[in-house]
Amino acid sequence: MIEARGLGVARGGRWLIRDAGLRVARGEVLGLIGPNGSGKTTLLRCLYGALAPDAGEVRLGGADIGALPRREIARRIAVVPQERPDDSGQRLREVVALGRLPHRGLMPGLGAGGAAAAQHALERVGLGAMAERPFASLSGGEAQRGLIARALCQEAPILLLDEPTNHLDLRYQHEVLGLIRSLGLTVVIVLHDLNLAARYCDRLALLDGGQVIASGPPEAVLTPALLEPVWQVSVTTLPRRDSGLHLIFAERPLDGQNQELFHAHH
Amino acid sequence: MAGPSRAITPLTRDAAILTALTLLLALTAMLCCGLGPVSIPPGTVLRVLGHHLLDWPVQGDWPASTDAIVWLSRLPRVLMAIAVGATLALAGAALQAVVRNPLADPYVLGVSAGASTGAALAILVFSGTGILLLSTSAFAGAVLAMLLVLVIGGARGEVVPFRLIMAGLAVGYALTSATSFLIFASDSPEASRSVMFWLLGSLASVHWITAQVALAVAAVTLVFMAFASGPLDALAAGDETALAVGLRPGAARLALMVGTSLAVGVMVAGSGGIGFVGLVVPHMARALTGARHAILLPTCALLGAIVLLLADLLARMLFAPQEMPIGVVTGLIGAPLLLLLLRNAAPRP
Repeated sequence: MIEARGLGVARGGRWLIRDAGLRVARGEVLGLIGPNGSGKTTLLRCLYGALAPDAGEVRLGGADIGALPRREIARRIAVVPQERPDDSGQRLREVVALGRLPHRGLMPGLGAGGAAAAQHALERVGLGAMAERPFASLSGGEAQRGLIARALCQEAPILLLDEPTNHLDLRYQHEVLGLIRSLGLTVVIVLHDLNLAARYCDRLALLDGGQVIASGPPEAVLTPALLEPVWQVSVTTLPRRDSGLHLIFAERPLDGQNQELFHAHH
Repeated sequence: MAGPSRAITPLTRDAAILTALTLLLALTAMLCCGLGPVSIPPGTVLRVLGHHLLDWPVQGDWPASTDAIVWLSRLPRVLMAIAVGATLALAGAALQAVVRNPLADPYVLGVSAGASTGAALAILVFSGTGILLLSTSAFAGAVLAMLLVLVIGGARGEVVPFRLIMAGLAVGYALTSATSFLIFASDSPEASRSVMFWLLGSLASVHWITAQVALAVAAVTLVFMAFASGPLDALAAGDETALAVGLRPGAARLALMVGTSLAVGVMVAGSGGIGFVGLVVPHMARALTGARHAILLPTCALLGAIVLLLADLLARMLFAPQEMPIGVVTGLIGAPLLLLLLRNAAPRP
């Protein structure tokens, strides 16, 4: 459905991502993981054509995304970027209704401007009662859910999210990711927290130094052998009761002493 | 927290605001046609207008001088004030969203400074006094200044708001200096005075043809802006947001800036660089209707027209028969209004 082949983005003589490839099937939740500066956001921005790659291409339903009009892309891909919108005095309802823009003709309307669609999207993220609040007055978690509502209001089959659980407390992290999973959309999501990635993604792509060094189901990617060299911390995986797995990290790179400690634990 | 009073939907509220402002505009325009050195009662004003526009009443029972005052002297000026006020306010609101800066005014691209230099050149160097030479020269100056700002500000192929504002400031200061130099180097105090008068803005020399052109441009601007209201909402929220909802921020910004600056150039060429209206009126309108451009823009147009009509009325009445530059009045009214809005503005979190 959406596919990147041999993507390369260079800035100032350095490759931010290089020969990066991934494929997302319809209805799949793909997690992009990797340390800071590994190229997750750059790769994500290429996927919706916000960045034109210096090498390779992104294909959306068989077409090169670089050749598609921006509006057409927005009808098929909704994005929750990391950036908060500037405070332009807009109310939550107005921010969410921006999601209708790619569907609207240019005809201006004095009407409520997609009010019904916006209200429906707000109710899905549990903010139905806050529609009239100024966006700038929302808490971090409310604002994040508001942006997800805007993406839902866009009614695109593909949803891209850049670290949507930042600024969220534990409860909302799970609520937001559970919500995203329940939508039945094709999702690509950048996640910092590997345990959340393990729990909510069908497949993971692990980035390091701008390259996708591993991809597959969480059990295949979240192994100490793959993770430890990338993050330079020791990793222990524990099976969860509800299938799936849980990771435990130690602050130092794995050395002999730590290994003994962990073995003693088990 | 529930929305503010559920009984009134946003739609009916918006419609009520627009209706009220439209009535207020008609009333103000009527008042301005009637007031002046020769006071003409509103009934007579209405009948003169009816006679000319609708051929009703067919026969006038008023003196020819009354007819001339209303139809030839005051009405063009009133229409010009409406066109200029509406366009400046619309442009201010749009540019504040486009460069994402509440302090932007319609002249961010150096349009006013360019027009001033053009006008000064026409008056001082070519000793032009004809309205056509003056307006053409001012408009050419405005367009050239805008192009210069775009070339400097967009030098890296991207139209970034911060670079544009800086380029606009630089070009503006340079051209203001050039204008001052022209005035300084001129040996005709009379001509210098007329440049100064022009710089501060005035509707005193408006003819029917100027008013008609300005009205047509204002109408086109209003329609252009109505189509742009959705993109303006997105641009105001930021480039990432605009991209996400299907807009190329660079291209949209460029189209909006060039479109509005051209319209403002026409207004400046006809009436001089009237300050404050384009900066203050959008803030007043936002306080009234909120940030959504579909309602904000028509509100700005109506409010801008009303404010400039009143400012022009004061400019010609306060020291009658002496005319004051309208820029002096808009500055005197605008500054306290800005402070008032600042006081009432909710503190940002």
